[in-house]
Amino acid sequence: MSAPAPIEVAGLRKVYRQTTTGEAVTAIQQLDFRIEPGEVVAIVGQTGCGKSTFFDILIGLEAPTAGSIEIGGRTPYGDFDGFRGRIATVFQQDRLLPWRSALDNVRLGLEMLGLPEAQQVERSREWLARLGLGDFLQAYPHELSGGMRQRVAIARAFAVQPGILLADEAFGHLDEVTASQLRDEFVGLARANGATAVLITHQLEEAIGIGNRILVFGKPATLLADVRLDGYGADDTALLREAIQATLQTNRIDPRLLQ
Amino acid sequence: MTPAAKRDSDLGPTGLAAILGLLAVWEILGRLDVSLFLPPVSEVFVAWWGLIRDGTLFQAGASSLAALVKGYLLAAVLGVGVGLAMGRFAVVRYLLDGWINALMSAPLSALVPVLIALFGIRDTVVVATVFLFAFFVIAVNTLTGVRGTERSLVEMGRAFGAGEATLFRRIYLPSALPAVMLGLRLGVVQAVKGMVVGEMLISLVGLGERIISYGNTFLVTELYAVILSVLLVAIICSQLVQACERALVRWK
Ligand SMILES: Nc1ncnc2c1ncn2[C@@H]1O[C@H](COP(=O)(O)OP(=O)(O)OP(=O)(O)O)[C@@H](O)[C@H]1O
Ligand SMILES: [Mg+2]
Repeated sequence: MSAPAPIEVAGLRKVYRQTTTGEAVTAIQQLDFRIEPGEVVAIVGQTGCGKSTFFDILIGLEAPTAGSIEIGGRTPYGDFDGFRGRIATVFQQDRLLPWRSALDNVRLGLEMLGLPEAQQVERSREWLARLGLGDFLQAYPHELSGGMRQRVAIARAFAVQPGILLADEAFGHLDEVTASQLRDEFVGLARANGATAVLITHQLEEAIGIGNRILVFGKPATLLADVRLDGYGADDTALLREAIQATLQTNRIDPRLLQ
Repeated sequence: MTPAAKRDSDLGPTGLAAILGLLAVWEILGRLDVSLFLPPVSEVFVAWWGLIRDGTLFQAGASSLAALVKGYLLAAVLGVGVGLAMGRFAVVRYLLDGWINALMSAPLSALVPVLIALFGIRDTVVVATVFLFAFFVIAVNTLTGVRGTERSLVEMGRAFGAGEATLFRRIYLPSALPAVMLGLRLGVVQAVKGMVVGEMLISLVGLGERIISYGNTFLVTELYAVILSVLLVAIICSQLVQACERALVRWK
């Protein structure tokens, strides 16, 4: 895994200009927070509140309108090539390449890192096996179930051994059992590898089950609440929910925002 | 491969029965002496055998095929190249879109006299008509394939750190491949058409020249034999391209 570094978000703002109408759309109002290396963070917020936009800037696909995101003192959007292999994402849909086998899909990120071919194959094989797909190396995406495809996507992300792993509603479209199983695996693997993990979700309950910390975004994105979960037990879901709602109330924020 | 994809190209029992039925009807109508221009199919086959034995068909066919291969390869290389460039670079697209659309719907046979003026009455004209007939459908299909690349896959590639060249090679190109192959398959049929049209208009060499010659001298059975040969060339070429398509696009 690449060296752990904190993610520092300062005065971040993003305004899109609609190509057709020319209208300005504020996707991110203002964000300030810091994520420590190795933290597992859930981001919740209404649809359209700028969560994916936050990821786009974090990955370096978009530049902020104002403010910055720095990882280890460098900005991903300013140093796109330097960040190759340091951040990997699992998307809402699996986004596998339909013309590639499971193995070759996992190889994609490694090809971009320029690893020797034997090593690409070896490592891809390893990660697919770890995700229970050792028998499906040569299967094409259309031959796999939705859950299996998402496992391939997870293997693809982990195979590049990134310091930061992102999941953008990666499990929302799967049935509940599969979803929670995959989520747990994702978080477990991130922890085992000492990586920082940031997961976007729509649901507070899901966020509570995920990690150390919940960030609640308003719309357009501002930080409504920053709740640390350390100290709560696994069965404290109700307690946590109360705590989060209390936090929202102290900030005079309608808890219904989250539904 | 899905069963449906298999069925649409392999000649199944139904297809074979249809062809045999058609031949039977042709034979009966021919024997009923409906028209001078409809000889029995058995006589056509006899004439066909004759043209094969005296070498006429091979001589004309060799000249035709040479022009076909040259023109088609040129159209394939340039068509795919131009289609890819148009798909990836907005500037190229704006420059060429109007031209391609205009020429694509233009009656291309009308251009042959221009080609004759350009090249003289030579077999180069046939190569040029083959090229013209095949180029546009190849270019346009390639363009459509590149433009049809899923945005979400491109974004995924970027998220994994792909630069423009890598995106093109690993995402756009393989994503466009089925459409490119479809263009090449439609293009080869167009190319055969272009070959015959070109040869008929310059009336110098090839199967097209034989068609004109037999037509003018009312050698109807020979005429049909040549037409069937052209048909056979078109079918074989299209099957060849389809075989390549199947070998290259195994994931559909
Ligand atoms: N490339 C873009 N161009 C213009 N506007 C955009 C672009 N991307 C996002 N937006 C706008 O920014 C806002 C935030 O979008 P974003 O996708 O970040 O929301 P989200 O929180 O991820 O929503 P969801 O939960 O539905 O995925 C939306 O109003 C959206 O229309
Ligand atoms: Mg989103």
